[in-house]
Amino acid sequence: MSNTKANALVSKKFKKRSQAGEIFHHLSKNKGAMAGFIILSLLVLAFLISLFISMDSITAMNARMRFTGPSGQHWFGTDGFGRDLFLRVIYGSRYTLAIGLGAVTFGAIFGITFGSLAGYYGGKLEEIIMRASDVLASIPGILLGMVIVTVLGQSLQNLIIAVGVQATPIYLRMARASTLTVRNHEFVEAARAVGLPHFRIIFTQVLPNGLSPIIVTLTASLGIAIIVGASLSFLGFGVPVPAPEWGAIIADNRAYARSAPWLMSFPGFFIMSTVLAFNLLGDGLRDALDPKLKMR
Amino acid sequence: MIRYILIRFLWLIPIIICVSLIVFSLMELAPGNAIDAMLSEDLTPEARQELIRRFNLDRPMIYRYGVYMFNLVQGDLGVSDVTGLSVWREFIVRLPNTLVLSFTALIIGAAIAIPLGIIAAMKAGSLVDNAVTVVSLVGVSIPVFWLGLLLILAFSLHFGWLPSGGYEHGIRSLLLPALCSSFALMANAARQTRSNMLEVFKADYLRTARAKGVPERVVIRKHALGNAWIPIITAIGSSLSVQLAGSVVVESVFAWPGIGRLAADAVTARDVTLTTGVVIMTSILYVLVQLIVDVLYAFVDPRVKAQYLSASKKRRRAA
Amino acid sequence: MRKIRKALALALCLGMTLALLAACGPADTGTGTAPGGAGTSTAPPQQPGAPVGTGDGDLTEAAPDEPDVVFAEHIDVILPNENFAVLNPLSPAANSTATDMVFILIHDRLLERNPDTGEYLPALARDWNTEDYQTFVFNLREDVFFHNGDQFTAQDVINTVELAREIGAGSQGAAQWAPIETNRAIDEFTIEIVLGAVNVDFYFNLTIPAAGILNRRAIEEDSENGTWIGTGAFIVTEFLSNDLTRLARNDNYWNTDRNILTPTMTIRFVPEMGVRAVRLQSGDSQISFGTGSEDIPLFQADPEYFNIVPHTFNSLTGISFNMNDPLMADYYFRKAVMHAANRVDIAYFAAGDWAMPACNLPDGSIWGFQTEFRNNNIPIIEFDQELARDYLMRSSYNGETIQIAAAIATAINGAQALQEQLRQVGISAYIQEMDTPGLNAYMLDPQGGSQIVFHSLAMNLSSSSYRLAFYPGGPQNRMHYDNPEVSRMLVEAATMTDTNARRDHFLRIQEIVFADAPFFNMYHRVNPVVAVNGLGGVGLTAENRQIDLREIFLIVD
Repeated sequence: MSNTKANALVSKKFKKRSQAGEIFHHLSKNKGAMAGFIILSLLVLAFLISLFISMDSITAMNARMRFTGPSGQHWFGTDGFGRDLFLRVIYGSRYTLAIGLGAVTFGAIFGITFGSLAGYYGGKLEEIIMRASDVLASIPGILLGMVIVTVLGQSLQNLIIAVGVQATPIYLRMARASTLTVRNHEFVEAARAVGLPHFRIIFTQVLPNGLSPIIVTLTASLGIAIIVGASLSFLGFGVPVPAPEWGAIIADNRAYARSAPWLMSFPGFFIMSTVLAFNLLGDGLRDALDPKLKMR
Repeated sequence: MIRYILIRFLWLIPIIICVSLIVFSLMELAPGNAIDAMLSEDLTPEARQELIRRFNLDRPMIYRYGVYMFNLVQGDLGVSDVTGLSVWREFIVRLPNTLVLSFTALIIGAAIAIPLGIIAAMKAGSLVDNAVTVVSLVGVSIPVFWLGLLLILAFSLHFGWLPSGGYEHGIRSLLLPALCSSFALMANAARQTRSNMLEVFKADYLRTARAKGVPERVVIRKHALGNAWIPIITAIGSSLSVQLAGSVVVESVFAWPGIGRLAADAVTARDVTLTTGVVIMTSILYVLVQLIVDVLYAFVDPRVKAQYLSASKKRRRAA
Repeated sequence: MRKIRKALALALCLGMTLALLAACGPADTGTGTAPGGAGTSTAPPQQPGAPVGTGDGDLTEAAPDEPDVVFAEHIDVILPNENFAVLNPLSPAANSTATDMVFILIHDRLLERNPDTGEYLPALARDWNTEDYQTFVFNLREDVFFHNGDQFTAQDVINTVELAREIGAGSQGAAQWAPIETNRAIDEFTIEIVLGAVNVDFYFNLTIPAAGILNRRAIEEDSENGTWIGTGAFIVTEFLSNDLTRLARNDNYWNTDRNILTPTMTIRFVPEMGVRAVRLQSGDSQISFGTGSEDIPLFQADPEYFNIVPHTFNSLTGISFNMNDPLMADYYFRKAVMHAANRVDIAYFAAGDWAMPACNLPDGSIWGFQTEFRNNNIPIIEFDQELARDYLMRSSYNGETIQIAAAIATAINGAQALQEQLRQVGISAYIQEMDTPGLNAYMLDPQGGSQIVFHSLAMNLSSSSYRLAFYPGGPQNRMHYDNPEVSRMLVEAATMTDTNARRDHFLRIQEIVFADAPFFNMYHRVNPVVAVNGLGGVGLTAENRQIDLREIFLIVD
């Protein structure tokens, strides 16, 4: 008895690993995805390094070193407080990652759950969910973010919530749309005919088969979330100073775009690379996950 | 279909109620009120008390919301707490600016993105495809405010071709902000088009069509595009609603007097009436755009159309 | 490692930065004491008493009286970085330099004031007198017409006072008329005003831009735009809240002494700082009151074309201690913070060369700008980290993290510098970033509020305006300061017609407030006004609310 159970477990595990392995195999053949993967690895490295940087060393000011350009001593130059930009940017990786991942996770949990429910069940439930989503979506995103940060106060987690909330309806629509395209397929109807419980159908049949657009959206919106966070910072609703969140660095130094261009260029480049990496990886994942590609 | 559209219009009512409740109560919860935003050196404690009475701040929030809704039912969006100017007028004066900006951005974006996406999908894996992919990825990755400043530096200052902001130079004023806000849309739509076209290309019916010897151009136009439209329309539709909601950032950078900036200013001034009013109007616009998108949806996707038809037939039979 | 780097940096940059050191105390840790004196940096802030600087050219000079000079037909003005919500002096939202700038153009006041001598000048009132500073009689001009054609009479003054009472609660405009108890027209062009109490600042009230005379008929016909109608030199042709206003010259302007040379003007708010600079450089705008200090080098590099004038005005930025907070109520702790703060660095970090450290004035007064009632014998609180540590030892500070609240960008920068300096003496602090209404609500909350607020005391030049900073419940009293003796003297001072006795009162108040130390002054803001060369006729005074653009001109040929 117990033996067969164990066997079943082992085979299940094995099967999962092989699926993941297959995806990784697909990914490794995709040059773009690998580039994204490498950039993200560097980002993780930056995050690990940042664990060894003390907050003091990125806030210490020096009036004599204001606005010095990139040099051997300060790789990325210094800002208006004479603070080393390189250290700040490295340290800032944690904020950017937290905002991107946090906000998307926040939005995805709510969005995908309700979106697939709406798409699968249809009828009244769909109407209610979609109207609720419409209400949320019809409030201008950035504005909703501003209001949320204003109400909750300026902090990292509040910024994550503000970005996540405005992303939720997008995921919801996307999840619903892809569920819609899948729900009348033969395999779903077959599963229904067999009498599988609805929840199981959603999570084992509908979601995985409608996953590719959701994956693309999620990974792409990791980047968008980072940009939305930066936009909120730009408008003065970001992480409070002196936290070196990249968007905030750009926002604080945007006035120096011409006199000290490095202050916007480096964090801007980091944001762009990070977003690019997430997008590349998302595209790669999409190709790897696409069931029709697999059929080929 | 008409019945469906009517129902969607009726849905506006609960949406307006929900939106107004959410925005109104959030704004009320925010620290500080309109008086704090207007605080000047001349605001004596006595004057402050008088203002508190005038804004009913000495009463519970539900009273203020009730008054607001009472006026709203009569079609009155009220006057701004801060300026005393009519909310409707403030909105309607800026609406054309935002509409013009959004549609220009949309047209620029779609006109460039869809052909690019199709070409990229047709030549999947080629140099062209990779170039389109990279360009559109970079496009998504650039923060809008950074792009806006760069555009101004390049086109207004360096070349001196276009004004850096404002709206008094007609089409010339429009180009930079529209280009700036079309960028992300363009990149998104191109990606969406490409990935959907790719998906459709793999479909059996295309293979059949090709096998029958239908020319590739016709295959793409008739069969592939017909099926790839849906997500593209969804993407563009949602982009449009985002645009209409007012790109606060673009409007700020280019000093474009649109409804996004109006609302953002209202939030920072704790102008509850103006914020709620503008958001209600924006959400109505949003719902209308979504409705149009959904109707288009039905027209391009025969399956969805069939659903609507059968649903109305059923209803008729039941009635 | 960091220390070595720092030392290296110090050595390398010593020569370069000597020029940047303005100052009254040791400039940075470990460099010893720098001698006092004004800085020699690129744009030295002005000393008090000469509030308006003359940069490379002179914005304030009058137009040349030569026949062949051609003036521009249109001038585009960029407003300071303040809200520009409404053109109604009776709205509480009209409380910024930006709106006041337009009020001066479109409305006229009964009196104006010579900013240099403090002398009152005739405007809508030809002459005036009072015996007791309670009953005033004004003789009005008989040749003045409103933009809608109505003639200006004594009744319009009465109407304005009534309107202020009816709709003006909390507004700047209404505040100026508030002391009035009764008024009556003696004849069509003579008015008698009786105040509720003796008020020596009433003439000053009448010179405030928001105290312009309004037209009741226009306001009743159009409650939104009727307040645009005045007797002023310019007529509003378009207004878009928080965006722009377009103005056209009033060809029937009564004051023929004034040279109204520019036919049309656009006065606009440009949200993005960098874009303001671009507008000037691309020729879209001709003068900007809102250029960021960081963009100034661009204009300094182009002296052929641009003219930069430092405008120093009566605005004092500093920190208020919340006296309701147990730790902040501790005198030793407040002294520790004060001695730990290096004003020179804070001013520099907050606004580069465009802030004048408060210690550059001949004293350490808490009194904002130079006025006739300023106490110049108050000692400076020196930057002294040793002393700060001593005070800290004697205080009840126990290593807790204190809160510094700040709202506007320069204050947030200054707060960051303060945070770092406090860290050096062993006080840990974090910065609570907020927007302005949030901060105001937070600060005026008698129960809560931040421990330290980094903010500006916005004052006008009338001494009684200081009442609002140090009187309990005053809107500028963010320290919750309540000293009964100060309160009593503030109330008394407003009624004292004997200038010497009054001055003694104000000097004494400053001594008491200094000893109580609820507020620590940091710097005066210096606003760089950038204009294209050839532009002139701009009235700039130490009163930031009195920027006068009526005679602005631009020579094009």
